[in-house]
Amino acid sequence: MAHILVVEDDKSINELIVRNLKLVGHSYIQAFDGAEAVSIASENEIDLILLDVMLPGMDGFEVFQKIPPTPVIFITAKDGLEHRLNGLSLGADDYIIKPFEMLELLARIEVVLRRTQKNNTVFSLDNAVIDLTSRTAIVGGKEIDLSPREFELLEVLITNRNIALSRDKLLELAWGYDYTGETRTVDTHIQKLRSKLGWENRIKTLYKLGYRLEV
Amino acid sequence: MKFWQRAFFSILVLFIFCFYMSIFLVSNFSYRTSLNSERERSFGEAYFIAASLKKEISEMMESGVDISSRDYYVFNTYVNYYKNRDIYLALWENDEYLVGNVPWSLLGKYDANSETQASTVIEYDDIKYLIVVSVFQCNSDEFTLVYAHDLQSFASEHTSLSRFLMLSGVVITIILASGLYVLLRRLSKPIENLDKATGYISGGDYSMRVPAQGKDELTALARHFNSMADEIETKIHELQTTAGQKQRFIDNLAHELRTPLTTIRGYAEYLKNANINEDDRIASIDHIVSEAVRIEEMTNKLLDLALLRNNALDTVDIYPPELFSAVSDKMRQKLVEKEIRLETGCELNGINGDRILLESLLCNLLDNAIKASNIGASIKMSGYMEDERCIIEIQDFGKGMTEEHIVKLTEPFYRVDKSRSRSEGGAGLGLALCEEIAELHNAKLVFSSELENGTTVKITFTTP
Repeated sequence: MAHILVVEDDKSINELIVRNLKLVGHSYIQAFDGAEAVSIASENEIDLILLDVMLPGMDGFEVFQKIPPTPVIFITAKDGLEHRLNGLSLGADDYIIKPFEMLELLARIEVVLRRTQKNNTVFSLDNAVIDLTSRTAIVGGKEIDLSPREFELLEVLITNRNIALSRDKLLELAWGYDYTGETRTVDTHIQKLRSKLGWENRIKTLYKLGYRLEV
Repeated sequence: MKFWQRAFFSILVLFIFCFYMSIFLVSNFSYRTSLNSERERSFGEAYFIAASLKKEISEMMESGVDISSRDYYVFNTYVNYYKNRDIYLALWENDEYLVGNVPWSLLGKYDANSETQASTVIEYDDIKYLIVVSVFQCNSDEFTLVYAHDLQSFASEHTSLSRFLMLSGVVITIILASGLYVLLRRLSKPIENLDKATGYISGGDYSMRVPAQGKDELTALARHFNSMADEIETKIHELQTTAGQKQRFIDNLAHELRTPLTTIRGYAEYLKNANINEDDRIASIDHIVSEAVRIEEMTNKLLDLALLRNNALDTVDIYPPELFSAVSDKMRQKLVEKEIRLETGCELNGINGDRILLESLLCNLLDNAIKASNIGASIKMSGYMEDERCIIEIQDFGKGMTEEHIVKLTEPFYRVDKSRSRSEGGAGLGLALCEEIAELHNAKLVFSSELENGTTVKITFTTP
């Protein structure tokens, strides 16, 4: 998948972010201050930079101006409006405010990667090959029929693979915030996906947690 | 109407009234007195004329001269002589008019009475005459002499005096008015200044001051006003500073709590949702534990701060070299880790204070010095007397800091370098605690620092 540079001075948070990136299949480099980030970004082929604004020595905005053009998501602890505006006016692709949920960060990463076309949108597992851009699913060489909602759900599972998603979370991500349906709907859709893709052992039901696509 | 205008018009009106009143009185009085002296003079003259006439008439009678033919001549010399001096004369003998130049109409107005000598003022044809009537006897005949003095020139003299007084009155009034204007404007200037300044201050511009030079009450008022404004300005400034500090404290507290909580939550979710192995699980739990410890340390220190503010000191006499060795024992581990040499020297014989708190104060300062120092550097801790005050000084030769950092140094959560202090486990509360402890001991903490040359902390005990 994508190669991501994580610039965050707090070691625990940096570690946490890369662990989650690793889960969903991205590769990563860690940097703990601005100077390090600049040198890494200039020497490596980076698809996306997660850049903390409050860095010791050189702040995130400064770093942003010194690196070669790369998609950037700013991470900021300050939720002051001026900081957001500053970040976006510099040409950042997105920003996220601390504290944030990992799923939200992953979703934003996904959006930016897809927009910048850096992401490999073809995902294959066992006999199934899913192309997220053309929205097609091929199992054993044959294209299968998936309803739009099923594809939506499949995409959420793939994006957040190896992470358990509760039924409510799945509803929120695949159906949308304002959907007021029952969680049972999720179960039926999951059943259909399992049988259509042959992923009975891949999409695990986790007691009290929900579902997880294990790769 | 403004104060100075009111004063101006009141004084001017009062002055004009009094001035013209006195002009009137003076001219009136002088008129009367000069009229009286004129009258006296006329009496004298009339008496003199009457006496000389009487003498000449009796001489003529004795020599048997016909009166009717010669008298005229004698009398006419008088008449002609006095005519030049605006005096008219007339003579009667036993109610029979003999000769004279007094206008008839004037005589007609005058009702001669029986008195031998009398005077009166009569106005005729807009001219005032002073009339004196003298009666004298010559043999058996009774002669009546009427003396009429034309007061025209006298009156015109008086009128010109009055006019002069009036004119000078107008000139004086103008001079007074302009002088009064200038004076009142000058006198009311301080009031205007005060008024303006009060307006500014009530409008929020506390830096406004009024000029205060002189020794009168208004200057004293201005001076007091200025010191009041000073006081207000400092108080407002203090309030703003305290408010700013409190706001920063809250912001910082929120940030300090949020960062470890973000981590804890993130790892907890990771543990809950991710498909991970045992090693990852333990590493994640370690992160959670260490962040929880960080929060715990922070709350403990915050609690210490709060307790310090409310508690009384447990003071004893401390022998400073003992204090120094206790502190260096406690810090040995950290000193060894960074291979730092601690040089101690103490000339002090005793300090009164709380042993535990002073130890913690020195440990904190030393800890900061160690953090700022490079590996293998040295730190000096010394105690000495200066101006009869006990001083303990800790000097390092490490990173140092700029002036702007020093000002905020003792504020809770303030970090000179965020990441450095974090990675070495500080909560940013150490110096706030130090300041609090120093304050409890009536001591002052003074930092002086130079970038890349190191920092010196001086604790000055104001009470021995």
